[in-house]
Amino acid sequence: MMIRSTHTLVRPNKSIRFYDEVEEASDEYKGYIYNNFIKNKRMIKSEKSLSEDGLTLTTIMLWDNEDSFLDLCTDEFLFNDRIHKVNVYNVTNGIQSDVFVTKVE
Amino acid sequence: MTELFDPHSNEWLLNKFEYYKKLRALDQAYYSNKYRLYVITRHKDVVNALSDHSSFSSANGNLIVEDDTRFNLTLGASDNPIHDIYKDIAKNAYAKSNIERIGNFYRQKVRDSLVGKSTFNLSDIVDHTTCWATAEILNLPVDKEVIKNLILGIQRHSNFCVQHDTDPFYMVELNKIILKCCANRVPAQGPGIYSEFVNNNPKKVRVTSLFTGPTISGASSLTGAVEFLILDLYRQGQVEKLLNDRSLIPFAINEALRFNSTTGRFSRTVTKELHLHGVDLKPGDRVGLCLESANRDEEEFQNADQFDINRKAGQLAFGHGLHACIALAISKHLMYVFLEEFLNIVGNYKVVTGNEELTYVMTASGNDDMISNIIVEKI
Repeated sequence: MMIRSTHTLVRPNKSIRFYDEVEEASDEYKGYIYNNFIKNKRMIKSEKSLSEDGLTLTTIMLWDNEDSFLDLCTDEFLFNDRIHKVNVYNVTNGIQSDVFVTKVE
Repeated sequence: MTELFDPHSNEWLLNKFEYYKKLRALDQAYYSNKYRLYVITRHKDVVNALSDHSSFSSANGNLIVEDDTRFNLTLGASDNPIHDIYKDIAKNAYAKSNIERIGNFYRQKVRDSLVGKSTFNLSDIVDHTTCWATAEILNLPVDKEVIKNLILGIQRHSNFCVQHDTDPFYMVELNKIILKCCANRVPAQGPGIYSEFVNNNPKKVRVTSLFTGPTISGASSLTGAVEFLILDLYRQGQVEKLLNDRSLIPFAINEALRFNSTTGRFSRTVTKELHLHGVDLKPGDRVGLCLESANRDEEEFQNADQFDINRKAGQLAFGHGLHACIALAISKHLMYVFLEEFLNIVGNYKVVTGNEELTYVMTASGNDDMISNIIVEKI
């Protein structure tokens, strides 16, 4: 069953940049996601939007099933290459991070 | 053997207190080329370093062998303010109200493991019962046996726990369960880390080490502590005393923790120039703070190599200062429960495994000491 994951990042003020603005993902990281999640249609769609006040960055992704989403979240390469840096950056800069999933009927 | 410090050697671990004596007696702190750190062994130096967290940082890790993916993402591998953010989320899970609940559950598991056995592998029983208790501390809203078995797998196969026979499967599966529960907003079923993570996390910190930390360092240190408790009470001839007077149990636990500190060593990174144990340290230098050596320092403890059940002295088995173990109270309570049940069910016992036959579990971090083959026989 398809699911939608919604990942929100809320920064305290606009002077704090989101990590994507600090360091772009490496080509290796992007290529890995493409080859393992996009090309084989496990990740079907991904959209980012910034709230009007500029504080909340929302990423909505559509997945073929929940396992694909969990595989990305726990992938060793992705964690070592970027995810742990993002986590540290968010904690040290007071950026709230939240994820939830919903089933797509 | 030329290394004076090598916690990945069974020979060194079997004789570590002799090595520590030599290390404490040196004019200058020993520098380990193998682990690239100064080995700090004297009680006063270890306490000073653990107390001075501005000069001895944990942000670049607290393990003897580190992994930079942990930096600032775990309780142990962070300085303030990050450390307090994590601690504030997790602390209620280790509070008194939850300790009693987990203790009762653990007591039943210990009973089930010991009843009817005359000769048994103590290490195995402690391993399993500790994993049950750890699953209860996490209290994820899924089948506890699944979680307990994953924790057991992590203890035996995670590259954060052991050097050999590693397999990431168990850690990945546990992380998936945590993420799945959080992302699906599954309500907590009772007090524990999961409940605190979803309900007491105002900054919405999504750091799964609050779960995996107890499954790695928490479980291994409790396992080691219980093993050494049973082992040392026998080796030091204290069993009959305890069988005759159970009020001695808390003192026996405290002395066992001093005598063999299961979390034997932590690392820190120096942030400023300072002088310690005859060495000029500079920013970026790493030090290994040897709790188990400090606990045997004759300058601090009279007859330090003697197990004295009447000793009323503090010990450093759970660290000291800002980074003192969050699970101190629950660990001591679970040790109490295990020993009480052990004395009730097994009674008098002997350890069949000879001292020189003990096989240590080679932990990847080099911090914790556990033994895999303690065979016990009921007398």
